[in-house]
Amino acid sequence: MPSFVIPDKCDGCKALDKTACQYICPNDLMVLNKETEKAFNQDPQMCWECYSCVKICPTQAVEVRGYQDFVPMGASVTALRSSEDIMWTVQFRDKEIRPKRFKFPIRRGVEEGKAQPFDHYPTGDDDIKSTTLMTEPEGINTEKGPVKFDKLPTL
Amino acid sequence: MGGAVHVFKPRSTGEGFGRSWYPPFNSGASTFFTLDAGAEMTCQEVRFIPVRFKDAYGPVGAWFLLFKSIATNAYGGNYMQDNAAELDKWEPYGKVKPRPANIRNWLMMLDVMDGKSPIYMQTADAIQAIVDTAADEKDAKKKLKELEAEAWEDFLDMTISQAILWAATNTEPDKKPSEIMACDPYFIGSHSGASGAWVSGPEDVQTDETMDEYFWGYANMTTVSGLFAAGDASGASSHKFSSGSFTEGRIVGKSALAFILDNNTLPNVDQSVIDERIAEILKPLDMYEEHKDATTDPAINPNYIRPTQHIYRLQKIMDEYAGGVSAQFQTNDKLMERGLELLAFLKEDSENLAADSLHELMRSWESIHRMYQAESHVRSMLFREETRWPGYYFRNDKPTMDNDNWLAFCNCKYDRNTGEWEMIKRPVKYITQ
Repeated sequence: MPSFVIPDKCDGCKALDKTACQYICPNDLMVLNKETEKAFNQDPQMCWECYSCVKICPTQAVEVRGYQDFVPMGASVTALRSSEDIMWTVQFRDKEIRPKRFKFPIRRGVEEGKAQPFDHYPTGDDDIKSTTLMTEPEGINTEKGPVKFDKLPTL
Repeated sequence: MGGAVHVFKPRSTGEGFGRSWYPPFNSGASTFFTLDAGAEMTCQEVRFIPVRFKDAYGPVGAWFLLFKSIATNAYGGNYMQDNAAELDKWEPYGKVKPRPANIRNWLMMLDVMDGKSPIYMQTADAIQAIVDTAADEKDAKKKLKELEAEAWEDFLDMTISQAILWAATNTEPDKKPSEIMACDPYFIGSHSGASGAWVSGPEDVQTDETMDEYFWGYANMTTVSGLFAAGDASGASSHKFSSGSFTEGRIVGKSALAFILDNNTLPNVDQSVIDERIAEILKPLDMYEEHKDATTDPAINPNYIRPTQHIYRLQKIMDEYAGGVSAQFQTNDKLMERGLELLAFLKEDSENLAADSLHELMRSWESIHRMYQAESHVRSMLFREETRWPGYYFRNDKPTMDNDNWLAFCNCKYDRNTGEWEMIKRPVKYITQ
């Protein structure tokens, strides 16, 4: 059902105009039930299991259970996101297999709001009709030499 | 959103419907809007079908490239080696290294059609081979731990569902192999897909030969004046990926500003046209309100069609007639002609789409967008009388590649007023050799 909401943990994000999961869902799936003041996934068949709602939920009320039309029951993958890292816990169906725990850094190059669009480079020729883009040619880092490809990307 | 998923029936039919490789929120909107505006489209016959870990669609790139894993059929045969003779038929591109994605699909599918499924990524062998290079036992343990973390991270970063599937099937990649399989067909403007609008190239890379054909004033402008496209919305640039799409966006931004400065007058649209468009957009809500009480269950009502059934019908047509999963990506001219007849009924029935909420209104329009992507796809496959990309689709009535006649772009245009399609063949002209 992909994402589901634990009622005891969900507080409906009362302080916000809309719930955090509603705000983050890229497919308009998470909505607030106005009567119960709890969120739910209104169209689980269109859920990509992207975990955006799981990661953003301030009360850890959202979890994911595998699509039951091909995933056997009993396993879980839970995410706990902090400002720097993400902690994953993988529980197997077979409880004899030790759960796996991983901690990975969040893949964010620059802190939110701190990106410098032009860096230290000059803007370029400032000609709207030219075919060069902003900061070119300096900004394409050619002073560092050509990029080396030891293998071509494949799909 | 650009790109289109769920035009074809996915492999899963229940909850797993949403587990597409490309996100299900890519509904073909850019194709619809450019087509509807009368812009010429290109490469609409090109679809992308990635090979992924079966069902949850976890990425295979790290396994093939980083861990140097091989994939085999159920009996241990290496299909890339065993079926290599097939490459001769698709020269010259069939022998390019690394092998093009559709060719890798095709060599795998030959084994599938030959009854040698399941196909496995030999994860345990690959990990063992790396661990074997360790200096001592301690180093081996450390290596194994690192590899295990990398393998899981690959999924946890990109396709968490695959991690759930591994856990639910008690799969530890260092202990047993995992099934891989071709996904369902998707439409994207890169990553080996190529469908999208036919846009003007940039001026600075044109040659005397290409100038007339590939350049018309503003980089990335479609054939409709003032309508620009980038990323999934622009076609014939299969290898731009995300960084290329980002750069294309920058190019379009600059080019569109130049257009605005040259044409600095607000377009004058009559209010009646706007009102008509608003009524058209909201029609599914009105349709529902008008008829919902005619039956005791609003889901079953002879007056209208709800978006869920609409998309199911679209997917069934595409799956069976246009070379989807259950047709093993094969079709022919007669199947496609029949498919177009069925699509025409669906198009007529779209007038009766009914939505009970804003969410369903969005789904209604998404399904219409997908339907136009579908029709342009079938018409373009039918127009290209050859098979050029086995592994993506195979025309059984034209089973070979015909470079004499079809080393060309297949373009199309749609006229929203008459409903007519125009198919156009454009030459391939090389900027570099």
